[in-house]
Amino acid sequence: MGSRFNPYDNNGGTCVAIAGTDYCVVAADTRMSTGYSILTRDYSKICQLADKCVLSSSGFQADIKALQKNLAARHLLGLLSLLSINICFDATPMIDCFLILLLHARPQIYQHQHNKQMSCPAMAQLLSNTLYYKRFFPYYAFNILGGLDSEGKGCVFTYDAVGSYERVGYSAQGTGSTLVIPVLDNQLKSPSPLLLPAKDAVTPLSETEAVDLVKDVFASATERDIYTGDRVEIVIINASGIRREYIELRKD
Amino acid sequence: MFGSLETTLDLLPSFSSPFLGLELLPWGRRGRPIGVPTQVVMRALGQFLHGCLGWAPPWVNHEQEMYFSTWIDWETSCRYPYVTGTSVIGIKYKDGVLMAADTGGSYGSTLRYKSVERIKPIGKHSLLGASGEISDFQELLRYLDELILYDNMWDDGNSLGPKEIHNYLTRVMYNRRNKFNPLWNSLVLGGVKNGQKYLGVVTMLGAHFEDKHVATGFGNHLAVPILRSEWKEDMNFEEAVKLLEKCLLVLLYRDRSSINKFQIAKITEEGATIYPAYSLKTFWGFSAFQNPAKCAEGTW
Repeated sequence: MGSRFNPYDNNGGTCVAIAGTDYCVVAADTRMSTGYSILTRDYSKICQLADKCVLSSSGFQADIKALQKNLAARHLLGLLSLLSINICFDATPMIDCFLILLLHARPQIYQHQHNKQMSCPAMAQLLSNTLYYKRFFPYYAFNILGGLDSEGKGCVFTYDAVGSYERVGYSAQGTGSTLVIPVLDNQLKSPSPLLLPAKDAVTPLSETEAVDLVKDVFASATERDIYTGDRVEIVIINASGIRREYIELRKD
Repeated sequence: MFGSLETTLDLLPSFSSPFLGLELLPWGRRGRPIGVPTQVVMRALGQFLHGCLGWAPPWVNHEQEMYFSTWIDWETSCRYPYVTGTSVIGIKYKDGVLMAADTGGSYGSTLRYKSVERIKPIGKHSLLGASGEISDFQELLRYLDELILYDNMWDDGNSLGPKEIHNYLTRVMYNRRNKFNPLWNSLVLGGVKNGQKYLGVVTMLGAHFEDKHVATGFGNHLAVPILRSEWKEDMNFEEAVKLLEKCLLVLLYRDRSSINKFQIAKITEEGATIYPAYSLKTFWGFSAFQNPAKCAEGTW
């Protein structure tokens, strides 16, 4: 008997995010691998889900893409077709009732329902639910969601593959996370989540310090993790919008 | 196998349930459990509504449905490929995209077929090259033919470009892996539309990416390093073909399932051209080929 078909692969990569008082830095390398082979050196693992909310994921690329498409459809991003909601409400009341029923049955499209962008904490809950929905055939995706909350404070949410999540001040996921986490712990000691009254988890660093720290941890992780390398894509979210930076990493 | 409701019911987990997992409405209005036939009807009704409206009546147990929302077809879930093609190489060049592959079809380690065309034009703007199971590739070509045909029937002057075809392929491949019944291929899709060159790969599991030069299978090990050092933006046709032939020759020497009968294809704004198969001149007189043990004592 042959061995059973394995529907999963790990395409590697490292994701890091750091939250500050008025910014959030989200970063990931751009290497995509399978086994010992590199598939491409230029694949972005970071996906913008809303104005002030980005998702960075490592794991199995096809699952990650499916997850991103799912979230984008729920939130209705950019050019996804404007469905026929306006037409619906011009119809007769009878049809109206039926269509309302129909609409409720379909995934609700956030921007149509609320006429605003989803906040980062809301997106965090949606991501958790989306992951847990596939609890028994999970998305092999390790996510970090970063952005600004409704008060403009930086926020980072870190996940496992089946949807457990936590709001933290900083996090790392993916193949290089074991190398990165101890360094971040050392540099950014966050207050214990057990403290009462609860203390903010945001880091005391300034934005530029945080970006420099991210560059350093990626350069270090690349030295020892074969799945991390080529380039880091750094996304910085603050009150003035979203900015991207790239730095080159080792290519071996 | 999963067609009828009866067999579906047999497969329900038997934990704790005297009703074969059918506790849709456990208690009727008179305080007695409702009968199994009623449950079967209600469950079917619920599934029907869920299927066509996307809305399920409140008696449908979603937790239980979840186990069965992904049908795992055990009969096909341990498949393996029979007749396979080896590497496909694709590169962007000045006027579009070039693709190359040999025409061999291997049955395990036997070279079973010698003139299988593994590069095909798709629609007006794309080329598809496939390595892996030949029959799965041919089925995929049928899907694509239908897709292009139905798109044509709109007669609106629109046509599917390489980006759309590539995206379609990623959805087909990923959908089949979700059913535990994958199409056993690595696909290369190249094309040009509106002056935009496009070159992408889809793997058996649905993972996909774009790049300026790509190669599947052995090609990823042997051809990509050559392409990385020698590929340049805006190579002309002759240069690009020369580079491809260099890669093919290396593959011919080192990949035992490759054969010396190659096809090169190009796609430009003017359309697709697939050149007739031809052979490359080989040279086996290298001293390392003639006396492989010379510098490696103890080998044969």
